[in-house]
Formats: sequence, structure tokens, C-alpha cells
Amino acid sequence: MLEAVSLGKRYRRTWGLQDCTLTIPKGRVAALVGPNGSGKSTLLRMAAGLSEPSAGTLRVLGRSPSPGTNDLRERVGYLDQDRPLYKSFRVAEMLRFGEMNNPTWSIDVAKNHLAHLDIPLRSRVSDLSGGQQAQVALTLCLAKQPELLLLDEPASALDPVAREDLLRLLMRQVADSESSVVLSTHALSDVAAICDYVIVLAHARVVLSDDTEYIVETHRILSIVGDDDLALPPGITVVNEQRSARGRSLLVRVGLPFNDDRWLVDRPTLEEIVLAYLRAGSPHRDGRDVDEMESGAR
Amino acid sequence: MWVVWRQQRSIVIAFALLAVAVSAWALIMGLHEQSLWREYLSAPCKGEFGGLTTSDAKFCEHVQLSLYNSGKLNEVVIGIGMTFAPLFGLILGVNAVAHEIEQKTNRLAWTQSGSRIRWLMNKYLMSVVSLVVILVPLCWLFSWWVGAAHVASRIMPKVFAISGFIEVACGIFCFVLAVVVGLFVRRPGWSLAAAAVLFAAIFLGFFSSGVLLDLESPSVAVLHSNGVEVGSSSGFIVPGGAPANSWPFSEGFIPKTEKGIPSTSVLNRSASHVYRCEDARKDGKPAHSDTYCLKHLGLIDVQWYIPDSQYWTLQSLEGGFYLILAALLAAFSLFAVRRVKA
Repeated sequence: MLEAVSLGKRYRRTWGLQDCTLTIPKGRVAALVGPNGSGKSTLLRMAAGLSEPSAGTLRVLGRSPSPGTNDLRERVGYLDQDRPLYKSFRVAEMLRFGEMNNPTWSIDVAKNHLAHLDIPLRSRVSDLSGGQQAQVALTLCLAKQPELLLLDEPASALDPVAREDLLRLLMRQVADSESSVVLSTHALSDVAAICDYVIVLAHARVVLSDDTEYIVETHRILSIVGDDDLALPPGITVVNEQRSARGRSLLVRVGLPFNDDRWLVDRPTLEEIVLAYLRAGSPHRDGRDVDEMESGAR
Repeated sequence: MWVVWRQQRSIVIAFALLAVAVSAWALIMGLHEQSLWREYLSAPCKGEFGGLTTSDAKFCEHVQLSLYNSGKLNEVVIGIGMTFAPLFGLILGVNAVAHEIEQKTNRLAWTQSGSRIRWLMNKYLMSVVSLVVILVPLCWLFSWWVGAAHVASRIMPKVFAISGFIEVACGIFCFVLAVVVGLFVRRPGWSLAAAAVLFAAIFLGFFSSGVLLDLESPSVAVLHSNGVEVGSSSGFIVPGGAPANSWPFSEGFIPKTEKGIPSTSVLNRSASHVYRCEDARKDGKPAHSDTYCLKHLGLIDVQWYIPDSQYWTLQSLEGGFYLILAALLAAFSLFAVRRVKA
């Protein structure tokens, strides 16, 4: 569904995204997670055909997205993080805009969604709250009935109830239409709740990209009291390490079943794993980064 | 197209209302001045005071004073006429692209099924229709007003740009210019300022460079020393030998054998010869007459002018210049919009 090979985007002197290689399979709800400036929006904009890569290749639904690929735009719905809407339009006029610009538009989907959210069609967009505007923008994406939804922080302006409604709606959308979703988010609880694929970006690079279940299965928290110099068995990658007066705690990636009685082994949550990767990628981290850890472990 | 109309309708309606107000004012002023001129040019005034009875002179003086007072507002009408179309085009153009980029609604539009080129084409079509629908009647009214108010001959630079269809061409050009500037500047205020400066530079450059005079070979009229002024049929007085309603743009002494317009230095030299000749016998004796000096020096006093018959040719040249420039810029923008960052 979305395939990037050595993808990069340069903004003057800095890289917004660098050496990004990943494959998101079809029919998934994939989460792009990372701190601000890590390249999430850059990747989504390139996938939506709003900007072109500076390096590498990107294929979306088997096509290279660019301003010229009209048929791809019909199949992809994009929600920008600023949720741009014509502020002077009424909600009904925004729906008319969507209907006139999309051959696969479903007015029923749009009206049902807005009716469920109690957003009147007669209201002017500028009179709606931030959350309601976000819902109208999302409605435009959903009513287009795309094969792929690209959502840049869709829930960031929503209250907890609206947030849960949105997540439920996304899950229903995927189930009903077999469409795929790639969404960027800072809310790790959302990732655990609805996403079955996770991509972690840090410093414009992909540091983790895999199935949610596989990620959880292949990571462990190892703790040991006292023995500082105890070496790890081979085939283990240390993602993050925390030391205290009592001992060490490591979040590791394991390739094989781990059987070492000297270590206390625990299953981490998805949130803990993602946070560990984000900490490892942070320039102000306490521990060492993944590569250093790997060589240290060897 | 509906989306573009919905985005621009408040601007279009505002300018349409402004156009109606300006038209009503120009119509009322034009009718008033037309009637005053009719009175001034017909009996008993006949465009002059000499030889009139006291009561007639008083009446004619009153008519002339009224004409003078009405004429004071003519400059305001000309100013409005000169700025209306460019301002309309610039504001429409800035709203079409720079405002949308600033609001980031271009991201919404560019991720729908239609292409960016179609998005921009719709803006061009809708805006050009709006400009033409509002500006054509306004230009027609201004053309009538120029004749009715006797501001100047319609071919004179002072009113040439507000008559005919040049204002329509300027409006379209300004719209396209603002679109192109907006694509790159991306901020409405700065785009408006930059496009206005660019248009002013092009307009004034075109106006002051005398391009039209180079394109059109002017006619020459020989002036006679008796200085008879030729009155036009419309009552507009053209001094010298140029025919009625023409645009006399230069005058000077040239050798009888000279063809075309000589250089300024030649004209200055001839003029100084004539003035020296005229001053030669002022020491207590009667001065030489113009006729004597011109005959003695082998010169003739001539006036170069563009006749009224060239009005539509010049309109086509200047209007065509703006429209061709607009077409080139529009073609460039359709190419550039695919590469502009969202």
C-alpha cells in the first residue's frame, strides 16, 4: 500500500525526512509516531502528492504520488494537521465542494457522520469549534471513500469523547470499506487502541517499523539487581537502558526465545516500547542509542 | 467554478456595487457637463465672449464658470477610472491564490480528485468572466463620459487608458500578475504590494517610453504664422495645425526638406536660429516676423500628431500588449503551479 525506499525530503539545509525505508501493507491502520519535527507530516504530505521527494522513491497504491497523478488523488484521502477549511463556507457548502471534486463521493456518509456529531449543515465553518472543524475536515476525507486515508494528527484538537468517537469511526471505516489508514499521532494510547502497524520516527529517520503484535512479541524488559557487568546473550539488541543504585533495567529486542534465569524478564506494553525508541533517538537521552547499545552488547 | 465563485463573490459583489456607484456619478456628471458644453458652444456664447451683449456675456460667463467647477471633479473621475480595474484585478488575484495558500486551503483543494491545473484554470475562467462583466460596461460608460465632459480628445494620453477596452485588458493583466506573484510570495499583503509595484512600473514604463509612438508613425501638420486655432466638431480645441480630436505630441522648426521627426538637438538648434532672427532687430526697430525668419532660414513650423482615426489601432496595440503579457504569465503559472510547494 505504501512503500518507501531511501526516501528523503530536504528543506534548504535540513532534512525533513532522511533515508526512510518502510513498507506498510494493505488493509492496516498504521501509526506514525515521533516527536515534533521527526518527519511524520513530511512523509504524509509526500504520500498525498503535496510535495515531491528530494531523494529515494515512494509508491502509494502502486503509483508514485505527484501533482500530476490525478487517479491516485481519487483513491487517497488526506487530512492536513491544520485542518484547512473555507472559513466563510457553510458546512453544507463544504460538502458540496467535496461532492463536486470527487467522483466517489458519498453524501450519505457525510451527512450521517455530521448528524451523528450534531453538526448542523447550515452552520458557517468559522462559527464551529476547533473540534467540530476537525470533524468536518475528517468528514470530507471519509465521504470521499478513499482506498487509503492519510491523517495528520487527526485527534489532536478533539476532546476525549470526540477522540474516542473518531477512533471508533476509523476502525469501522477500515472494517466496512477495507480501506487502509496511515495516521500520525502523539497519543500513544491511540496507537495501542486502534493501530496494527507502527512506524517510529526520530530525527527524520525511521527507527522502528513493524506489526504491532510482532513488536510487542519481540521486545522484553530485562532487569537485574546488582550485577552491573553481566553480559547479554547474543542476538539481543538493547533499545534503552536505565541504571539505578539497585541495578539495571533494559528494554531489548530479542530475536530468539530468551532463557537466562539471571535476568528478570517482563513483557513491555506498546507504549513502553515506543517511548524507549523515542528516548533512544532523542539527543538529550540518558542512555546510549540503539547502535551503540548493539555494539556494546556484543 | 462554483467553488471559485463562492470564494470570490463578496469581492466581485463589492466591486460591482462600486462600479454601479461610479457609473451613476459619471453618468450624472457627464450629462450635466454635456448640457453645459452644448450651451457654451451654441448661440449666443459660441465658445467665446468677444462681441457679446452684456447680458449674453454674463450668461456665458456663468456657463463657463459652471464648466470650470464641474471640470474640477474630472480629475477624480479619471483617477477612479485609472485605478478601478487594476485594483479589482489585483485584489481578485491575491484572493485567488496567495490568500488560499496562506489559509492552507490549497492543501485541501490539491488533495481532491481534480488537478492543480484545473484548480487554477477554474480561477482564471471565473475571474476573467467577473472582470469582463463588470469592466466592459464601465469602460463603455467612461468612453462616453470622456466625450461628454470634453476632458480631452479620447486619443490623448490623459484619458486614453480609461476609454476603449484598455481598462479591461489592465484588469485581466493585474489579476494574472497577482496570481503569479501570489504563487511565489504566498502572503496576501506582500503579494498585493509586489504586484501593484510591478504593474505600476510596467504601466508607467509603457506610458512614458513612447512605445506607441514608435509603433505608429505620426502625422505632420504645418503650422501657420497667423496661429489659427482649429475647433473640433465636439468643441474640443486643438491649437495649431493638427486636426480636431487628434493628439499633438510635439512641435518644432524643421528644414523644409526634412523628413520624419528630427533629433532634439536639431530641433533645439533650429529654434535658437529662429529666436535669434526674431531678436535681431529689437534695438529700437520693429522685430522680424515669424514668417520672415522662417522664410529667411528655410524652416517650417510643424506639429506632429496622432490622428483620431488611429484610436482603435492604438487601443489594440496597448490592450493587446497587456493581454499577451497576461496570457504568457498565465501559461507560466499553469506550468509553475505543479511545482509550487503546498
